[in-house]
Amino acid sequence: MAFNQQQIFPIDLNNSAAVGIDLPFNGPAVFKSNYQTKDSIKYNLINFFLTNTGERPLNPSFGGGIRSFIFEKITNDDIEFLLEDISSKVSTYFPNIQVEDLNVSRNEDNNEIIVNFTYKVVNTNIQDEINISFT
Amino acid sequence: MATIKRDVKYLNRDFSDFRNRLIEFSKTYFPNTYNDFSAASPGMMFMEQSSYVGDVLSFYLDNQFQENFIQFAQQTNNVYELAYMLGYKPKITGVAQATIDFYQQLPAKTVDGVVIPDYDYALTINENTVVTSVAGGNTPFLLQDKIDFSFSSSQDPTELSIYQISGDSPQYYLLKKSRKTISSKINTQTFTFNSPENFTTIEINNSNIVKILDITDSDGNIWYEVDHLGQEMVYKKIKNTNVNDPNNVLDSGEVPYLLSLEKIQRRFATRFTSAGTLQIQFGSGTATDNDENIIPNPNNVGIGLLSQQSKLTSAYSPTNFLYTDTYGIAPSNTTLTVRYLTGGGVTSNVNANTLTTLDTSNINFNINNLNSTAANYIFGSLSSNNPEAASGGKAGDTIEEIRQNTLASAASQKRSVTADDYLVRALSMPSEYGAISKAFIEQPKLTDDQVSTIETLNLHCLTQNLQGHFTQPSNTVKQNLRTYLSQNRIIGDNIEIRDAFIINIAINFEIIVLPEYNNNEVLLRCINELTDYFSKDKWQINQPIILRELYINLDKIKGVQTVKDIKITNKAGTTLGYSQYSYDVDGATQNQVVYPSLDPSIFEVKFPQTDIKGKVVPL
Repeated sequence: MAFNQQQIFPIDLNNSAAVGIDLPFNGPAVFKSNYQTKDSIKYNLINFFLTNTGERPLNPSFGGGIRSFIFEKITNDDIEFLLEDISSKVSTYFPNIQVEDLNVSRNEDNNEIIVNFTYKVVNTNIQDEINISFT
Repeated sequence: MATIKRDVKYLNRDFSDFRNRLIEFSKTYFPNTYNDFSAASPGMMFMEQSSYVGDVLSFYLDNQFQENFIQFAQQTNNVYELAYMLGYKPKITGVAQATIDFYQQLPAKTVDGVVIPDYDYALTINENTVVTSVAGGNTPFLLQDKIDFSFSSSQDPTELSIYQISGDSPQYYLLKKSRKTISSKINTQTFTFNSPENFTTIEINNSNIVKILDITDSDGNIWYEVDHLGQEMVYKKIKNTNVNDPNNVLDSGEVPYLLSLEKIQRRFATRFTSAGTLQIQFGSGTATDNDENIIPNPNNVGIGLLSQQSKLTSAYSPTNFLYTDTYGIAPSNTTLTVRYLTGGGVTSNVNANTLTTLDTSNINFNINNLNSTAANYIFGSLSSNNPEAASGGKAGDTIEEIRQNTLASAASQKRSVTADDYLVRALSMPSEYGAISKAFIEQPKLTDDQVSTIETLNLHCLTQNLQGHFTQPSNTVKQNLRTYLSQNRIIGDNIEIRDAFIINIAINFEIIVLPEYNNNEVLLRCINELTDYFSKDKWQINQPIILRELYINLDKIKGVQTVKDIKITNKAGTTLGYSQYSYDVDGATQNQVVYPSLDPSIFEVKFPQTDIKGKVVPL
């Protein structure tokens, strides 16, 4: 019988070792630590999408850059561009993330862009979903 | 509570170093608090922000540190401050000098049957009389020394010739005297002082300030300029006359002035700001001490030293051997009248035979009650002319010039010991005596059978003319330079001031331009680059032309694919406006370096607009 070998992150086995920090920063001491790599990756992705390109010091290409489209008249071509751009950026900054499903939709009445993003961490059984709304 | 000692490193001070150190630090000391160091994690966002702040702070720290050293300082005001700290006084402008011939007619008179000039009609032209150029320009020339046509000596000869003959006898004679003038204008400004203030500073806001001419207060007291307020002794120039010193008056032909040392209380120090204004600072004392002549002797040297301070180990300067601590008097309840000179610049190098308009308001006869008709005629005969063009006028020191002159003058400690000391001394000559643009010093080349008996140095100099072109300095400038250098010369040294040779050159180059670029634009950029490379400020006497450097510089220009050829040719001939000296450039070129001649010379692209030519050639 074939055995589907999966990787685990050793730090996940240590319950007292924090991996990253949650978003937003509203913990008792501003920061709230998370203890699983899965959570850390999720918040990293959220942080990435919430960052505008050019915002990060000395790393101008970092960030989703979706906010700049909010007040644009978004066409189907723009949606295509965003899908391609997000996929490309995720593969650059998150090489261990495999995009399972990606949807970008718009709500023109509210100037809203919604990103639904399902992903999988390569060689692990970590799978998660993010829904972010940009208004 | 025990303090946890953590390993903090202070050497890595740019963004990536800070970032790496913070990651290492977190891994080492906070292994359970944070472990996600990927670029996208929110924690790294804070670390990178901290690294960014650290990087910026380090930049400013480096910048502040850099501005503390004259070698590296970039901000103009810092360069000025450091120059003053190290004893160099930057020049805001360089005045031109010209020797002007003054003429007047004299009527003839008969004494005991002999026709002689009637010196009763001799005129006196007082110092600071103004002569202006007929060619225009706004810089007048100031007469530095008084002219008395009735006086003649070996130091101050008067040429006498017959001007007009009536019958067989002379009717009018012509007198001629020559004097040095400087391209400056006298300006006056008054400052009122009430209650005394310590170290009061006043500022003169004007452009092209040359120097303070004099300062007098309401009571007629003269205030003296010193290098720094701690200097209380000044050398005073006294005319060598029978009244001043009957013992030395017989030598007045050879020694026209005597030097005396005087302790002065009314003194001030000046400094130019980087904005070109002049600050005048006074001391903090009160007017109880008077100026007096003081001869150094064992009783007064070091009189102001603290009792516990050893006289054996104290440093004494001839300018402040008393060690008093008032730094001069602070002016109070008085009005100071400050007279200062402005002028200079390249445009003050006026052409020959142009300084002919004489201001007669400062000219008078030596004797009253003369025949008014004759006197009017004689007064009207007064005229002036400059047979040679004025030279020495230039712009003030550039930042790089201040830096280099400061470094050199600080090392020499006001004494000329090495050849370089003489070089910088020549370049720092006060601008009122004419500015030397380029100087080069070397020991004379001896042939095999020659033996040097005295330490001789040849100082080769050049000035700039009205158009900014290099030219040989006039005898007046050379004479001033000789006098100026003698002040700090070592007894055994012998300085010969000579002209440097000027080699005019032209540059022809060929380039291949990248396909997508406009040929004309690229060519223009190349010509501009070469014009800048050969600009007169950047070129020195005996500096070789390194062709490889030219190739590299042109290669760097946007749009240039390849520099195919650069050719330097000599331009000579006074009829074409070039130097009279021709030069075999090809013969002087070895291994892509064009060497100057054995006799000190300078390469000059005299007319960059026509002497630098480029061509775009196909691949």
